[in-house]
Amino acid sequence: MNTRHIIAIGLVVFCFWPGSVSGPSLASTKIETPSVEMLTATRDIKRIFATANPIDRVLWTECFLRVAQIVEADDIEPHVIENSLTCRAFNRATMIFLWKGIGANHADKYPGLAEAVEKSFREYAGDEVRVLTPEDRTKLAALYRAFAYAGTGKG
Amino acid sequence: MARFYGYEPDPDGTDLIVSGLPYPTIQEAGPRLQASTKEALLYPALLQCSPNWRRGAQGIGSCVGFGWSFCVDVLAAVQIAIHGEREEWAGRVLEASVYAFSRCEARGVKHAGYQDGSYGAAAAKAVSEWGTLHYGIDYGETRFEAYDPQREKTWGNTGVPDELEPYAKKRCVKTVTLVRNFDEAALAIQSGYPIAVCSGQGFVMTRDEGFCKPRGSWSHCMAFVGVRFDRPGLLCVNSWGDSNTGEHYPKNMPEAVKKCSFWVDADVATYMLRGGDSFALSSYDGFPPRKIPDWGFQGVL
Repeated sequence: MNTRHIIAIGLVVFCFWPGSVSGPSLASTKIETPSVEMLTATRDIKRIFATANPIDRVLWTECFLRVAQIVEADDIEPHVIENSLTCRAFNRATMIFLWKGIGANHADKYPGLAEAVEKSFREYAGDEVRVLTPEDRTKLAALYRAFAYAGTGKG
Repeated sequence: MARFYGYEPDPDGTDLIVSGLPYPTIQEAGPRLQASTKEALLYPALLQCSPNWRRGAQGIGSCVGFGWSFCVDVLAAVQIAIHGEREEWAGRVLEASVYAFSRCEARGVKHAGYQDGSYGAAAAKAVSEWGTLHYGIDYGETRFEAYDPQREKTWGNTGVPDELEPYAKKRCVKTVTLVRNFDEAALAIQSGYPIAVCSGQGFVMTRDEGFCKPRGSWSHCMAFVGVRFDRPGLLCVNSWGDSNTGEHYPKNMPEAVKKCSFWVDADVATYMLRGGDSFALSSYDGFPPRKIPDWGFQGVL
């Protein structure tokens, strides 16, 4: 993934972002309940967000819902997120643009959050540089949705 | 014209090398392989691993290096994308490495001279005993970024520099097997094994319903990476860059493959393979997967 890709992804995410987060509420956000396996894998994230401020919870949830949509949309060859390294760059770009940039959050604002997300990712996607298969993309989208769900405090 | 070809048959050399192969024929290499009439195409695996792949054009008479390197690329991709092996795609094989090994080290000569050319069995020995180098990999102080015909010319005389040989030896093709006719080729390709074909058969450059008619003589090495049975034939990939035109099959074949390939009728393919210097490749010692440091969240969240 080159800089152009990262900027493009950032723009896409930015364009998808709701123009106005009209109040820190997740009342109207519909997310399918993740599988028990996913709920277990993301329980630390849920615990951390249980005490998070409402704006961050909205930001987190909306962010990962969009990320899941983007990964699913990347189904035309050649893929933008073609392997685990580009997926890593995508994660990083998204978090920098949205969580840090738009949300104005600093690293370690929620101690343990990065480690919890990394742990979930490693459990589901391993830690090797490899080409992503269609099954991997489906799995990643489900994982991103589980992250979003964890931000709602439900379940 | 010499730069377009480069196949220099050596029947005695071929016999000697083939007699030393652990599995000289496809029956011995894969006794459990089942013949069928199912179409098989190997290029999608390559494009999955290397979406921006484009066929290069040989700059000297190094077709043997080009044909065999391409086959190793396809084999590595098949192992990753189809056979699901835990390996990483690490870029294209450096054609000069296969070409030079096949001219010098595999034949046990210090200086092979500056005339171009090599033959299939020498390349078989090269990739299986001496291995392959790749573009884009750091070999100590050395890294190869782009194709350079002068490198082929120089190494074609001197062989691969000694300091690079240990790196190449890590990336060998474990099995090379003689392929002698269309049926054996079909069996190999259906199993995911590309074929480096060396022959004297020439072709017209414009496809007719995907096939190129045989015409003239090319002392040339190319690659077979597909098989079909509606009109029995093998998909042949050349090493002259974008070189073929006309309708192709399948219709959705990506442009990069379309421009450098054509179908060869089964009887013509058998004629080419009967020369006894064409081989299927299997079991490549690919690159072990690298670990990623993290998934991108550290230091941001």
